Amino acid sequence: VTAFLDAAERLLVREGAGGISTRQLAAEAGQNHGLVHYYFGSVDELLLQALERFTGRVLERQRAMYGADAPFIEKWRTAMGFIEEDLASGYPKVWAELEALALDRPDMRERLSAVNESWRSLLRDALQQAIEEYGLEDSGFSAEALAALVMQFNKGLLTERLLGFDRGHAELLAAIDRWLTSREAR
Amino acid sequence: MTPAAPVDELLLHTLERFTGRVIDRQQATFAADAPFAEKWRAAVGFIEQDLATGYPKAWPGVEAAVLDTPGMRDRINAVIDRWRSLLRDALAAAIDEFGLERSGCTPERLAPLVMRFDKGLLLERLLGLDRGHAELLSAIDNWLTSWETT
Repeated sequence: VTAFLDAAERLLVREGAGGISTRQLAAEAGQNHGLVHYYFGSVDELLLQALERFTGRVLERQRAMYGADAPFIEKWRTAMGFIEEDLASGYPKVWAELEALALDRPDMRERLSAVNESWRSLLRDALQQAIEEYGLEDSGFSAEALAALVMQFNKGLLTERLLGFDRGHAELLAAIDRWLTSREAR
Repeated sequence: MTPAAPVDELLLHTLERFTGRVIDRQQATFAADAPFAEKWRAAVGFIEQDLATGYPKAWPGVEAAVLDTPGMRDRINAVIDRWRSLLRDALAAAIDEFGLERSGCTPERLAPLVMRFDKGLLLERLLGLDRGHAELLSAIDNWLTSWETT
């Protein structure tokens, strides 16, 4: 099973979800192609499990980071510092590939939703800490609203980076950092 | 760089034409002689229309194809750039109107934030997700209203 999940991850990063076949997965894993259906039932199921496993690893790192006893700004900077690591690991590409696939395969959406929900909950809890730390309870922006905003912009910036586009990224991240610094100083 | 294959070229051309239509509408919205909050509400009001036309589905679909075809990236990046410029200009008007010049909010900084959250919300809607969307849009609307009354 692990060999197939590793193979799916590599193929998603290298070639995208579009043309991945049972035989290609088997060749990449060095296994018999019949085992894909034996263990996973379908290629889609294998790809979904690869995304879920990958998500689990990245979420675990983020949970440990946000769970640390440190000011929010430090955690935010650490999170931003992971951008290059995440791009290199291929996680943003794997997620984008599976999302694009799910647009035409409604039966995959529930699983993609669960991945999304895991991220949203993690961010909501982290941002709740920021709201309390900076006294932003009356700002009108709840942790749930901010989580939707932060998750979309972060995911979007990663997708743009994959496309070789980074207009405004450095300026935006610097502005957020300055804003957090200004809140820290109060 | 490898040129785009005929099917890819057709997909890109379709996306560019689709983008042209949606950008024309947005340009007309943001160019109107009206307070920014009204224009923002009009733009947010287009969400359902855009979902119905399929534009938010066409864009990530072509983007995903481009991830594995470097020869197509310049064209998709031009689409992103057109949206970024449109939003930068619209947000520059908002910054002027609300007197936010000294806040550190430049249009070039805000444009990627607004563009990515808008595109992300549309993609999530297509995937059947809407957690936090109403809260976020309502909080932005309240924030704009608070600036209008300042």
